Amino acid sequence: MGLRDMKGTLLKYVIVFTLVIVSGGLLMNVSHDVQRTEREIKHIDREIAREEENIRVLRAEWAYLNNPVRLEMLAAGHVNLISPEAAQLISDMSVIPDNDPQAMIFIPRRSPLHRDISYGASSSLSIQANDFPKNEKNTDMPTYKDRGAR
Amino acid sequence: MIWKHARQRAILIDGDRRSSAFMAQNRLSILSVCFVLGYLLVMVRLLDLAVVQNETLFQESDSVILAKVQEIKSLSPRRGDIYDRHGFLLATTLKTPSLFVDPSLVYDDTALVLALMTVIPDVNKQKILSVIRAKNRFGWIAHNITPAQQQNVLEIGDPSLGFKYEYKRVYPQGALFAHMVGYTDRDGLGLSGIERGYDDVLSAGADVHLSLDLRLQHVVRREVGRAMEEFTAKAGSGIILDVHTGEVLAGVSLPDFDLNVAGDAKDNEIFNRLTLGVYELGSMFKIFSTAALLELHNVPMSKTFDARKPLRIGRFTISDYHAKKRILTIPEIFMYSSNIGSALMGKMIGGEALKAFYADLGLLDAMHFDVREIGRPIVPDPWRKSTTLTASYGHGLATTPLQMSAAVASIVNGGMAVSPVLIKQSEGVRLQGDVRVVSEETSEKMRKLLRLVVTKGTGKNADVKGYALGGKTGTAEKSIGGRYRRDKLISSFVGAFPMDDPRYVLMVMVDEPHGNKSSYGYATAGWVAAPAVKRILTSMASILGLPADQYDPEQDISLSLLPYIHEKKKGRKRLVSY
Repeated sequence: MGLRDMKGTLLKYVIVFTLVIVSGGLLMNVSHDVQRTEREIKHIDREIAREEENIRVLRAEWAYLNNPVRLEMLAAGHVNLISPEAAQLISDMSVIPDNDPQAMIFIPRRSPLHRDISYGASSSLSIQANDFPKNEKNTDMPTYKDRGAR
Repeated sequence: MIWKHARQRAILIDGDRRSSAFMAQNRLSILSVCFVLGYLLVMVRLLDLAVVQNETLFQESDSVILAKVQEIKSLSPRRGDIYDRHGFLLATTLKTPSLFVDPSLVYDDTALVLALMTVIPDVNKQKILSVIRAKNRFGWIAHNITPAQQQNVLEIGDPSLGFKYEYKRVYPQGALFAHMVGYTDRDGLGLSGIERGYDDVLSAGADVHLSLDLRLQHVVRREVGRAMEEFTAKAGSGIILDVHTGEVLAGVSLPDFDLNVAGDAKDNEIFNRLTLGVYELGSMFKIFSTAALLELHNVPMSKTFDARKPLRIGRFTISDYHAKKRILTIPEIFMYSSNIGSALMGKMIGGEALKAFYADLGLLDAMHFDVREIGRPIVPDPWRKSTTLTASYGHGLATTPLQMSAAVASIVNGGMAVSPVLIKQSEGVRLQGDVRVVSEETSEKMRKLLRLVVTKGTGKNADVKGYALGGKTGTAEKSIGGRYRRDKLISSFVGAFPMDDPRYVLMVMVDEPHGNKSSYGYATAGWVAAPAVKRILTSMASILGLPADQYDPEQDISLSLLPYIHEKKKGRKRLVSY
């Protein structure tokens, strides 16, 4: 075996080992990346599930807040209007004198009858009529104070 | 240079031996390079873990250690939601934490109980203590706690506590849909209402959209409740039905209960008076006996029946509550709700034909409905000759209010049989079935008669200006222990509108109302149920945006019946209904 051959072998070894190490390093890097990405995905999936659950809770909450019994109670306490009579519902809009400067908008005052509406048996809501500021004798617009529905 | 020289010489002198030693030296140096590189890699990785990824790793371990949250994977699919026809949420399933303890890990039981009691107010101290002191490794402390309570429990930081996640059925509308939506047991098995009727669909995770309208449901519940309160009644029910699709837009049975705490409900509240309760609804049956007469015998409206004297059939005496004591035409019999007149009509129709007609309307059999709590009508058996007469004004026949309103819908909608549904139908569906019960002409005549009851007859208190509401009152004595009681009534009113082309049937039934000052002591349908229907219609009009100027009193369909009414104009007339 000559010196030239030995030099060639040495070079071959160096190249092969370098390749092995470089590729090994790359493989490790890739597998590490994959692991990290998988963890991220799991994390995001969990977060999505949590958000979806939160959305469900919020939707239930929204439905609860829109309970007509509650809305009617809030309207009775805070809005200075009453429900329209059947005869006030019209299909012909041209009878409304909206261009007439003489015309005035008349808002009926709440009649006491409309204030205390009972709801039959076992109202499930935790809101009671007296949780909300009642419209006392002077029918000025009451100041809205959110006392928290629950 | 010396080394090189020596090497050359060595090769020259002793080639093979020298070269192998030389190669070993080479290999060693290559190996050491490998090790250096390997250590470098380890260093890089260490740096990566300690500095670069530090944050995410810490976060994860934090959440794992702090929350001890066991992700649920073994749970069955989440039960489907229930919505009303406009997509309002009526029932949903939420994932809620339930708190458990591992008694073997408890260090200081009294301290733990005290801590738990500050966090979860409604726990029983003795019960919790016995759970904590038990000699096992698992015990429930509280089911379905709130997120805020869960956070507080986490802050106690006791290693013996843990959470399991469970599904909980939540009904945001509380009691409003008690009997229609129904409830489930803790394992999510439907026990009543749609929860039971559509259990297979819901438990597979599919959502259900009901035909009910949240707003109309509320209006009906409010007004039935109001009628019950005003007349100190025991119970009541109400319904709004679409006469073309059979969709139930509102269905109420009172008293009701909060679905979220259905376990606390009393039997009286759980009982569904709309679909399960059967009641003698009295004069409402005159709608069907009159329709049968008009359909089966080609009689003119001017046909008269002698209502001068009470009828005696066997041991029965049929008399009128507010007797006119004269010969009455068909419109008069209908608007004054004359029992004698109706009985005579029944005699003319004949027993078999009347029974068959009632059967066609579905009044003699338990009906099919999406809610499975269905009452079976009480039908006189055997059907005697006298039964034909009494059954023509509703005596001795008990049906569910749902059945009654469906039969009325079949009569007024042009004559096609209506089978009520609680599931939303696709838009534009006009008629469900194609079974004809009565002809178009009979349906039209009946609409005129029903309108007449509201404009001139026993249903005047239901009239709303601007709407052509037609209807019929029904007041019946309750049969208790086989005897009819004068003081215990079922007062009901069934209405339909607009009468020239009906779209809705409304019905209100009040169980055992008591007369008061405003009704001059009367507890009859015209005073109790008719005003409730009026108020429902008024609210319904503004909710559905039905304008009041579409109706022209001059064109009222009942006007054509006026020539058949021979009313004596004298004295003050009291409104009666029976």
